[in-house]
Amino acid sequence: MTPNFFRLAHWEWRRLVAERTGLVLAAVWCVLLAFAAHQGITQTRARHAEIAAARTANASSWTTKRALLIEIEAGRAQPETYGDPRSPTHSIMGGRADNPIVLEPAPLSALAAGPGDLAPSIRPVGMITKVFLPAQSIDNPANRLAGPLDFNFVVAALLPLFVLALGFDVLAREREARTMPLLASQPVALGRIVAARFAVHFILLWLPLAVAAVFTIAVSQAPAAPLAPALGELAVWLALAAAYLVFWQALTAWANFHAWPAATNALILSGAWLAAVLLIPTLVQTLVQTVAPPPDRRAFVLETRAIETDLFTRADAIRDAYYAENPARRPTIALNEYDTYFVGNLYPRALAADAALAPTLHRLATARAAQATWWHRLAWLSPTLALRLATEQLAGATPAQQGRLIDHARAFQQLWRAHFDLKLFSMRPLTLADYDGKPEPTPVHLTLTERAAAAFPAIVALFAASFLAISTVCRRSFFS
Amino acid sequence: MLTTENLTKRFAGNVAVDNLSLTVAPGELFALLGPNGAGKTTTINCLLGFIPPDSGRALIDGLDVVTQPLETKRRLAYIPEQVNLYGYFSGVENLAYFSELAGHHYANAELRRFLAESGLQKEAHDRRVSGYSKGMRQKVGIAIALAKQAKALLLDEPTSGLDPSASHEFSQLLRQLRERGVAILMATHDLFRAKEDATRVGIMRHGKLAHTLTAAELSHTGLEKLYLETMRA
Repeated sequence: MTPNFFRLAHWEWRRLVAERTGLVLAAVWCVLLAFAAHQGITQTRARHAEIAAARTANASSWTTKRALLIEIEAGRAQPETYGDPRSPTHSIMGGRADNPIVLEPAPLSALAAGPGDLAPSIRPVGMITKVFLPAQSIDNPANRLAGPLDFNFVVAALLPLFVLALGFDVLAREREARTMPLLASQPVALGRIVAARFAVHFILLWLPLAVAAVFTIAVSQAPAAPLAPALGELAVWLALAAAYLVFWQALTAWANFHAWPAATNALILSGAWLAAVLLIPTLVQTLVQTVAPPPDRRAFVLETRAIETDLFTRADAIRDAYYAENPARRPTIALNEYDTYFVGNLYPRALAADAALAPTLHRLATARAAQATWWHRLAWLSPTLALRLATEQLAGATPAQQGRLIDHARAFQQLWRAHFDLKLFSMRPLTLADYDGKPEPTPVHLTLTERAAAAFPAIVALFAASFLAISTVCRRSFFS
Repeated sequence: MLTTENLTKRFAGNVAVDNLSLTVAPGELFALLGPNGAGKTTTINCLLGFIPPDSGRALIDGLDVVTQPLETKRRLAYIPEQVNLYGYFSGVENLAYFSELAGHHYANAELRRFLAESGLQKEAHDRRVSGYSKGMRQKVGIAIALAKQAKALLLDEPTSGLDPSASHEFSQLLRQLRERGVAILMATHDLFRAKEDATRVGIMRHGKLAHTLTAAELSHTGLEKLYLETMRA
């Protein structure tokens, strides 16, 4: 009678308990997962809170102005010096009038929280907002010191170390402790014993991961968001993590089946970890930067400054040219100094700057897309790279996905300007119809289809790597 | 029960076992004598399926060890020169684990009975094996073989390093197993034990069986003389 697989697994569990090293490793793993969960929950909740606060502030600002407009028109209130809701410059210029364009955190965003504050979820958009500029950095230096201890990093970079630590000598120790002859004389294939041992290791590592991830996703969702779709997406990610874990286990088993000493196994597997986690991603990064050079941030800033300086020196000419092309937008009343600055100087320059920077922005978008394409093409070179890319794509955290916020903000700015610019240029008073008909900011929502499609090549690469590793190890000779 | 048919095994061109044919019937103890490198351990390793023969066959209960490795292992037990066990488990736990691997699930009392039968003192049953002497580990090895209920037993210098008392106890156990119909093949350097315990003795040299004798055919002195003559030949 062949021993039950679960009985074999039971004995491996008893070994781990008796030896205690496995339990210590499991405890360290749980501590890391707790850190990752804390990071994910904190960052995602902060984003939701920031978004809610920005929306509330924006809605409150417009509601207050609208209410004041009604009171003034009814003769029950007097306008303030710089707070007349009828004045286009008072009402639609300046930071308080800006609309928050929001990139809604994807259900799995807590898995790839990373430093978190490097890619803001909100872009304020108004008549003269420079939406094309990179968002101001609010990076917390402490985050850089601690590293991006999120689920993506913990699983992709650290999980393999735990797999290797638990299993590098799973058979080698039998040879070195000379228990192998007695073990090999039993009517059980060594492959079956090893499989049972790795099954226990799998549960020891994957189960806490699943619990921590489910808890993190459950508590980090937006207050009104349904939980079921998020958990469905998480199930896919957990399957990816399982495939990744199995890949490293297969590699560890492969080393053990080669009858090398435990120290040699440790050395070879550490080398594999170094290659997959550090060397290959670094080489891929170098390759991507060579074949698809990244947008040069410094050159972009200098180019922007040069254009803006040029436009500033030609401000009057730009204004006159604009009025010549748009005679209906010429002010119908005499402007004071305050209004002149906004209407005759700042706004025409903002329009001219947008036009002048359009080719540069296009170049940036093209470079960003080319980089993303190359990252996907080369993801199969390392399962670690594939998992990180897939996770970032599913979490909606890649630069290309973050770039959607800028695109959406620019589109909204066009709508906003189309609605208000005639009133702004001519300085005709705003009416209740202008308030009620203004475009409402809509959020950027990265759908599951979009995210899954983006992640698909990396997902395929990861599953293929796992399948290849398993099929190599499961050769008949190991299991007969 | 244990058969080799023209078994040959070479290592890097050197012949370790040369066209060896032998049979050990149920209830028989065949002692393989010979110097180091004579091919005793290689023969046992071929019967265990640890190393494939270059030619010929090794059979357990009529089954080829190469084509049916798990079935043949089910029928045999093995006690090496050094029985190494899991130091972090107790004697009972080691026995339970190896019994499970052999497909037997015993109650705790049964496991203790096997250990007692093999001569391990009761106080040691629950102690970690890392604190056991060689003799105690050897007894757990015997308990593992008993619990496996194997039809054939392969022993590779099992009494090496045992004190005379432990060696005697070991002989008693082998006798009991033989009486139960177990076929035993024992590689040993111990001429005294071979003469005392074996039903047949084979002297190996350069991978060949130079002599095969029943124990009754030789006095102790005669066996030693024949052994030395064979080595000098």
